[in-house]
Amino acid sequence: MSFKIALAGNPNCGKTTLFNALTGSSQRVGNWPGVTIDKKVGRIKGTDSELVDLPGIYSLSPYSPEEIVSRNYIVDESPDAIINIVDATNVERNLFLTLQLIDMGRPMVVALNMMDEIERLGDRIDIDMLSKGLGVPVVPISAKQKDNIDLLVEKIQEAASEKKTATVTYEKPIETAVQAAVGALRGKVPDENIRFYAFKLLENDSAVNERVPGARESIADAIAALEQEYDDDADSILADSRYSRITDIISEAYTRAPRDERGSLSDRVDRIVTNRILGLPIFIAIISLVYFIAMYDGDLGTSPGAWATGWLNDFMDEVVIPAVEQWCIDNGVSEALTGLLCGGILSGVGAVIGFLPQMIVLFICLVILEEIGYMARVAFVMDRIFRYFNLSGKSFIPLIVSTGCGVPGVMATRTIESESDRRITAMTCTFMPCGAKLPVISAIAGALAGSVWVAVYAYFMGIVLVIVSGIIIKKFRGMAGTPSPFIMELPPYHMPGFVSSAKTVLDRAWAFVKKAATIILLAMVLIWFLRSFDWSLNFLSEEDMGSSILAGIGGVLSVLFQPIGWGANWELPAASITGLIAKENLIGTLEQLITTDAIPDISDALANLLTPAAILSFFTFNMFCAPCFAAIGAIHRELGDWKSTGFAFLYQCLLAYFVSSMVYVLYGIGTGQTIELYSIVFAVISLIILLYFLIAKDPMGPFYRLRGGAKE
Amino acid sequence: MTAGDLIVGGLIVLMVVGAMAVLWYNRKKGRNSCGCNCSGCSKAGCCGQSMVAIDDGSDSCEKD
Repeated sequence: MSFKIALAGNPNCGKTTLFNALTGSSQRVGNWPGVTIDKKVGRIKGTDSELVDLPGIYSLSPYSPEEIVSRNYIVDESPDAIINIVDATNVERNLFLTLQLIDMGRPMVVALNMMDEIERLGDRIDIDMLSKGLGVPVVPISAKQKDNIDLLVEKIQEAASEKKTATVTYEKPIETAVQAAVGALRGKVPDENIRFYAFKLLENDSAVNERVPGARESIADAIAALEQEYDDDADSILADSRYSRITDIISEAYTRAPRDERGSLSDRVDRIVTNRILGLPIFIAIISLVYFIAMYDGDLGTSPGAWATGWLNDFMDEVVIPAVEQWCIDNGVSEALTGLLCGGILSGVGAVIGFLPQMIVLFICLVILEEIGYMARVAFVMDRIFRYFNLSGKSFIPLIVSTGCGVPGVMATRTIESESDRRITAMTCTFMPCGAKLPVISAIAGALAGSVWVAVYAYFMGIVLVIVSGIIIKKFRGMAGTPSPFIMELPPYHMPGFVSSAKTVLDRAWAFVKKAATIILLAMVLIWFLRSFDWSLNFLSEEDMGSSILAGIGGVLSVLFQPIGWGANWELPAASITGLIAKENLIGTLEQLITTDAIPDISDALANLLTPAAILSFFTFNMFCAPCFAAIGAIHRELGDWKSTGFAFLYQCLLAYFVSSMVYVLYGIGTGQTIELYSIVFAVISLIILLYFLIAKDPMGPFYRLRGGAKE
Repeated sequence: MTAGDLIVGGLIVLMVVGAMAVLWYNRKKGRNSCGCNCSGCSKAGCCGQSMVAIDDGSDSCEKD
């Protein structure tokens, strides 16, 4: 039979893993809360039943977007049955949601997950006793090991067809108040959910009060009697009674093995990695090590990532392209077509693909960090820092997601309750170096003698700019607000799953290849056309590229970049513009524009063209200016209007410009390079502007007053 | 025009048309051209779709 089944549970209890095990799909599984933002739909293997994966929630109170999505789905869509996944290692807390779900009046099966972990700890759970206490079937499973998944499917199909529901009862005074609420709600809400609504009415739930106006007032006497009986407010009384019920059930069903007094291994590691003082340095050291493994190439040797990338680049430059070029010459292919194929498509796309090995190594490292549970600790460590600057630690989850790609990062901001925090994070999370920026990082690191610090600088400067932006943007009208509360549970450390990790890495690598074969390829053809023809559409030789359409566009823009050190070369502003299509384009464009037969390597060509300070300035601007069009589109979808999107675009570009200006002067002077006076003046002005926005209480006040005065 | 021109020209046209067709197909299928892989995205299944107000309780992922 075909049923509609909902999958609900606490954040980070293995819900997405179970969804994948039940449906055979491969949704993203992250070892931090908030992976499932919206509901996802799949078909349970071997059945015609539809499974809806709801966002992770702690309760059915409408406090967060996830809770609203889950609650409304169960109330409005009336699934035939609910699978409530419960983390067996945290059973007390997880059962709070279970009791609320039972009140929803839908057939339910509890999937007691992580039973392998319970066995490892030596604990024992009496499944029959637990099932009896809750009144619903309980199936012990391990979603990760795929243990008992068939039994779970069998039980949920059974529950959906039998339509048997359960009721958990509480002490008499509570039941009396609940019955009064049921009476007030009868006929106004669906009968099957009436107990859930009754509890919510007693809890003074705003959504229920709006739906049934006057109902709460009509049971004021019952609420007053309840509150007098327990000498507390109704909301707290109901929460306490649920926890008391849970304690009763657990005391009979759960036998805990003696624990090490020093805490579990996870606890002991956490005491170090989340330490108030050591947490941040450890994070910096780990990220530095990750980039070292992925891209170091210097005095200490060559990292595996850098070696493989070097080999692939050499193979393209020294074997593939010359062979194709020779074939074209031998077969009388015209100069223009040879140029387009070899100098445009193969060079440009090849330059980007060349960085694939480094990206794979980086992805492996980041996936391992995420899978073992370290990135969840980083969010915890960063929460303290973010909170200090009046930002929500919840903003850090989109930043972590953005290190893969800015688009899902921007979309992940939806879990942030505070409107201002959500908008600010959506506007700024693309400051983090995404996978597409990795080739740029690698090329610039190469131009600055293979320095790993370039990558570490990009990563941490991204975080700093998010914090700086949070402080600045909150001073704009309509953007002020208190930070969202950030409740986060640290999952126990565990070994990364080989198959899931490998799949994530391969998926990301394959996505990179697909992007290179589509967007990058098309962009390279366009760049080749723009650099090979002049405004009268005459074909130009390599030497006459300075008269091309692209040179004209780059030349106009180059004036803007003169004060920050790289405006003398039209090729660089032109490359920055192409980076808006996709950041990898920057590399493909530079490959087409600045490399020569004598200097075939982008890093060497950059080092030949610019001073180290100017290279760092160029890098800073391109890392932190507006992201690619896809990410801008995502920002637009989250902000909801083009005015805000335009503001975000302008803000990112201006901030990147000001920071580049300061970086250029500071790094230049610090390393003894000659910096032009106008660049120094410009950097000082940039610093003053930034400090003004950071320190002034109402930096836009004079502007608003001026505008108001003009209107009057 | 030589045979080489025809081969290389045809190959380039094939690559360009192929790339455009893939992008067009993905867009039609509701997959974004962000370059991310859908299975690696917490927003899988919602690509290319606009956001609707979530505080009214409706689904936050809806087709344009």
